[in-house]
Amino acid sequence: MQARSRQQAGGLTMPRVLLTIGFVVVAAIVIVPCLMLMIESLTVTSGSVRQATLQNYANVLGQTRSYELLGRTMLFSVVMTLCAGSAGFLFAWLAVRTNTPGRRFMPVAVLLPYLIPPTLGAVCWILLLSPRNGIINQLLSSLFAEGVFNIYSFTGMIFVESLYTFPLAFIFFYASLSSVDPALEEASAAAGAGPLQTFIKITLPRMLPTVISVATIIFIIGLESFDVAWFLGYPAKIYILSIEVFLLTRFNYPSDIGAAAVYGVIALIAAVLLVQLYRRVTVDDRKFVSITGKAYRLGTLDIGRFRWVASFAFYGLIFLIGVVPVLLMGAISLDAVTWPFSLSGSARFDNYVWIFTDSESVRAIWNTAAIAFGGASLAVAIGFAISYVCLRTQAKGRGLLDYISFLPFAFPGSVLAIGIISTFINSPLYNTIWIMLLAFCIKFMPYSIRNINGSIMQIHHEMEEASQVAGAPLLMTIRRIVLPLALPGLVAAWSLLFIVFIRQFSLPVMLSSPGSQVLTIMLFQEWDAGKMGHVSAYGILMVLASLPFMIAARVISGKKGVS
Amino acid sequence: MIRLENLSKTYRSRDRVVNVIQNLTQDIPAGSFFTLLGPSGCGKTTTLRVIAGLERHDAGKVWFGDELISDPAQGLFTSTSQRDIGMVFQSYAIWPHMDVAQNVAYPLTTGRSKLDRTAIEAQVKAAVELVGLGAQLHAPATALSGGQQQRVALARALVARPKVLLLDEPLSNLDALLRERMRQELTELQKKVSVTAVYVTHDRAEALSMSDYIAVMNQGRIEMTGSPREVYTKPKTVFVAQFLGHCNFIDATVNEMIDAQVGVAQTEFGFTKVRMNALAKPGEAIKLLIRPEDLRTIADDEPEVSGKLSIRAQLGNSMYFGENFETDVVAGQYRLRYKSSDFAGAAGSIVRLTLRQSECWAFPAGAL
Repeated sequence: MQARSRQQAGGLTMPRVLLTIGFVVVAAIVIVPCLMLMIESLTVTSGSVRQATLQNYANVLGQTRSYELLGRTMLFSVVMTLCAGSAGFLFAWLAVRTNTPGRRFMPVAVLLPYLIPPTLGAVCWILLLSPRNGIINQLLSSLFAEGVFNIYSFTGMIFVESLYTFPLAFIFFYASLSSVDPALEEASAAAGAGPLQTFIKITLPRMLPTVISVATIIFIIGLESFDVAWFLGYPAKIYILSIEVFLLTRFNYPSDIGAAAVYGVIALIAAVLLVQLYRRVTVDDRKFVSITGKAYRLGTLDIGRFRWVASFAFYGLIFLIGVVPVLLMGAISLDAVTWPFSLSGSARFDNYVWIFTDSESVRAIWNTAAIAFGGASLAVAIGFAISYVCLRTQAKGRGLLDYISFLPFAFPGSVLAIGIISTFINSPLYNTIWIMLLAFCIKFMPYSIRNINGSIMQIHHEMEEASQVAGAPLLMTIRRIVLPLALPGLVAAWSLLFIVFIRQFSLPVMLSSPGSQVLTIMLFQEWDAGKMGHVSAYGILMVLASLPFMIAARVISGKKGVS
Repeated sequence: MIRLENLSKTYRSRDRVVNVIQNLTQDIPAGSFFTLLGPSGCGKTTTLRVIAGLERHDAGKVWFGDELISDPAQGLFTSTSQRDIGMVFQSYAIWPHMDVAQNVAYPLTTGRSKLDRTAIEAQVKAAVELVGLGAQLHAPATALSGGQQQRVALARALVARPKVLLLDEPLSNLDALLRERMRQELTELQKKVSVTAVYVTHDRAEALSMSDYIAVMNQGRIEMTGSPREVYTKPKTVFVAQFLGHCNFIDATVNEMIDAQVGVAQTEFGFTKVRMNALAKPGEAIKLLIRPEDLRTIADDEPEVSGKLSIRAQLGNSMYFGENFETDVVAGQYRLRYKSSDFAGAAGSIVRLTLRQSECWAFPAGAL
């Protein structure tokens, strides 16, 4: 045996180094923008002089309009949470526990609406339900008065937002329900309880933490909703917080960053409270929510003839929100349908030729690709480091790191953007695509971490310990054991982030400038100019670009249980 | 070879404090098969992980030979990867993204030992053959059965020829038949490579059949260390006695002392020779430990022998285990269990029982 130095001081260990790096990174990208947001809210700038003041708060809090705005934002989120949450729960329960036909395919089918960017969903529903030209309204106008439905309304906003949030609720509830051992319910049945009693006394209490945590997530999504609120609410002058912040910073003249920052601080406080609630609920819940490997057999509660209704309702809904937009957009993008609605009977590729030749458009495509590739890679790298430190080391302070890195989850994109603008306004990054890349990483870091958490937790800790025992230091263990084993999860996380980054709208709308435009901004510009063909071509492009990554993520997470 | 000196470790959570290891001192002789035996939560696995460096203790010293490996008081801690150990985990921890050879070769390619390619290949082959998996050298890890994974884990733990082999309940995930076969193989292998093995289990049959020494642990302490025969037949504490097998206790008083440890005791069933760690004075109350297999029936025509117990008992229920019967009997105020190779008789019938051996182990009455 060769002689070697065995002793090692207790001070500087690899986990601590990792933790420190994690802290520095997270502090820089989360804390600094938050602080800048607060500073903006507490100062006014005249010329180049910044002065401390409470004037912004006085302005915002002194208006009735502000309270209406906040109330409307709350109402929007609450109603949306109720609609999307209960639909998601109901269909997930039908899929897991009953003999509804096609239940096995439901979790796959529900991914279809996921492929539709929310911007596109909103646009599509305008095409269907705008008061004068909407296809459905036109069909109905022969029967009833003109404009039966008006999508440009508060109800319309809630309707469309709920439709596109429901799949998320379904996925969460489905995972949670199928991880509840049906033996618990069977034991209740054996003890003489009927289905309803079992549901109330066993299923519901067992699901309660999940219900609350999913409701919190949906509520947060409602609070930060931008795309739908912009396309449907803005034309009717129905504003919610995220839109107001955007208008105050980028749209109104003169802009009022101070007031926007005040709204931002309000959103920040709400975010901290909600994240607190979410974490408290999930602290006991995390164990069984994250274990997706263990699949119990699906229960088969006979719901009689109602099962056909359930199946029809589910697949009808999926068709409406996942298939109709693609068909409609496809037809318009090929000029087979023109707008306002009429069939042209022939198809051309002019719109696609345009989006791939127009110099501004080509640039936007390259920008989007760069941001999506780079941003997803960076977000996965940071996410992996933080996730590993928080889950697998004993480093002190990892709880705080976990907490801070989760905060951006609840920031509306437009609010986060104010902080980022103030942080970087004097740096060369400002007005480039790199600031968007960074903003995307910050906003979606919690998604990245949560996705990666799952794949790290699946690795038995003895896998790593066996490597340590074999003489491998921490970094080698990470490289040779943890990374290869977590790789499928990392690829899946990367794919999902890529999809989300292609369609992100609320951050680019705040941060992009001529030259650093992305697809969603182009889509919006063309929409504003009434070029429906171009809008549709962009929509189809986004769907097609997302498709392979969606399939990849699905296939990978489908066969996760390797060992 | 390994010396644990005043080891302590405490877990603190928000609402409680658990002393996982309490002031534990133990020498583990070089080349021995040393078992930490105890119920779950007794601190045996934590002790093993402290030896491995996978967990840090709060106080005390860990020595490998004359080398101090870890001592929190001096801020000294040798990381796991720097310790000369091999370890077999409860889950085997076979890396699924590598084949058998890659798994086994890992300790030779990660820095602690620097060997050239051919030497690594030779050593891997030797280790894989040692555990009888030569034919599966390049099988993917995911294609292995539980028993095969167990062998790969063993080969991986031994390939770098460590001085210390740590085993954390390695047999608990195998089915009963395989488990019994692996007991034999494991001990043979350990003697062949003459490594110091520290073995953690809660299974007393495993501990008794495999070990050179057993340390019985309870609530973070070692209650007793000794050879399997010692811990079974001469347990230091009632806990040890009960953890290693069913105990019948019978009240007795010391009648006379023969030497410091041996004497004669009187019970309501007659006199018997007793042995204790330290014999009480005549007249003091003690408890006799009688294992079920210590009892046998006395044939009707067998004459009574003075100085031997004669217990008149009524038979209760009998349980059949294949190789023997275990029967509950009532004798006066006692409920006793005894083991017999033949069926003892119908419930309700009367038998006379006596001890097979000439003396029995006893505790002070206060120990119970």
